[in-house]
Amino acid sequence: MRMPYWASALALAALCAAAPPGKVALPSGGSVSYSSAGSQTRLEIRAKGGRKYEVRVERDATVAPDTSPDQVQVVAEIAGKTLILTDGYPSIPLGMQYCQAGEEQFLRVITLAGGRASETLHLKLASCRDNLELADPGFEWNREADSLRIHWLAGPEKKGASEERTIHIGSSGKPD
Amino acid sequence: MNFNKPGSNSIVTVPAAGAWPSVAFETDASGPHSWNWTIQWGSFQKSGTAQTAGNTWDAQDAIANCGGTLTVNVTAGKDSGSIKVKIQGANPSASDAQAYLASKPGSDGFDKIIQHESKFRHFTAQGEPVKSFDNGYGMCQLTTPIPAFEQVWNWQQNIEGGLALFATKRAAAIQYLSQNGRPYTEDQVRYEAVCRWNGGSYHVWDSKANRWVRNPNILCDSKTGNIGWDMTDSANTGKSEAELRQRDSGSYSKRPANAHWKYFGVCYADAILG
Repeated sequence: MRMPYWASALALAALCAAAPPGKVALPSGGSVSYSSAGSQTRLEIRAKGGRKYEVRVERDATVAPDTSPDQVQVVAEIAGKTLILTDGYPSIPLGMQYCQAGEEQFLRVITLAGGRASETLHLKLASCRDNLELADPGFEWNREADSLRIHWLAGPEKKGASEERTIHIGSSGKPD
Repeated sequence: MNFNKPGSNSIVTVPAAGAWPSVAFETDASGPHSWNWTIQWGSFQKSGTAQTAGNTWDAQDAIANCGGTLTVNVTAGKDSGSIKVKIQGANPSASDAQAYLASKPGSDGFDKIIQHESKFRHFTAQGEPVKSFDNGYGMCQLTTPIPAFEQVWNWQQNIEGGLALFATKRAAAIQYLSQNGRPYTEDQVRYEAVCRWNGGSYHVWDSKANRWVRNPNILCDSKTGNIGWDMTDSANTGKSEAELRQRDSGSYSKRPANAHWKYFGVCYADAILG
């Protein structure tokens, strides 16, 4: 079944409503806690059965070190195998308040395998500093095909041009 | 060897109009001269050599669009000499800067940003380019990409550097507003571009009215430049601007992680464009 991003986001928002700051619930029943670790973001994944994973992911130079994510959203989950999430941060502003109210957002594919979590893909999704912007809706998760379609109004490939990309998650839990 | 002109440590001021003046050198020697020059201001530096058949040289072209301390070492046969000259700048009037901006396509709205942020001031009282705490130079406070020496000293080139950044926001504004063939006005492009300069989009699509409208969920603190509240946040819903300001203004100087206020480009555009 194809589920538009806004619908999954609404469903997840309801799931996450009770979660404390720095923590989001997983559709399968676990949770993801997040915090800053220097210039990285530390994700602690607690699976439904209680198993814990930790992974540190990189941001880029448009995000200030020691800044915790403003928001983390779970885009999709293949229980016990893959987690797709986004993390957003305030932009580092330039002079004349350029991007002072801006945001930088990343997409991560986290693969759970062999008792550990690892980031197997990351993409810049939206950025005030780099002029990247998602369309509305920006994602479409196809649960049956294990694939995520991303639609940018201004994508990373060609400056300022709309772009679409599909990420398929293979049987290993990693993007093909 | 002595310099007949200019005087040592003399000051040359670039006029407000921005055309670099003649900086004439003359020695009391004769014959071919070799002029080695360096102009430096802070971390910016430019050097070169000029050869002349006689004892005069005009540095006007060599140092065009640059300022600071100009050091000239000259040799003529076995004679040599050295001299330093200060190059300073004078601020353009706001109307001159606005007229320059108006001559550039796609600048609509950027004049308001410069007016708001730097009041078109490019030079300090000492005739040096203004420099912000985060190494932003000139009236457009250029930081990244690191500006060239010429963009730091020539206010017109400084404006062009700022305008190049603004152009990306204006292009994004048009792309956003024109998506799915939706209609938009020039006024909406101006608000959208200025908003995006600060961050985020100004308009949302009202499908019932079939037009773009200002994001109705953002309430701005009209006493600040770009602070506001997302009124869909349950902590803010139903409260007035005055109530929210009273609750939050104590934390405006350093935003706590759990704050219910944010910086909004929408509020920035409202504050700047009215």
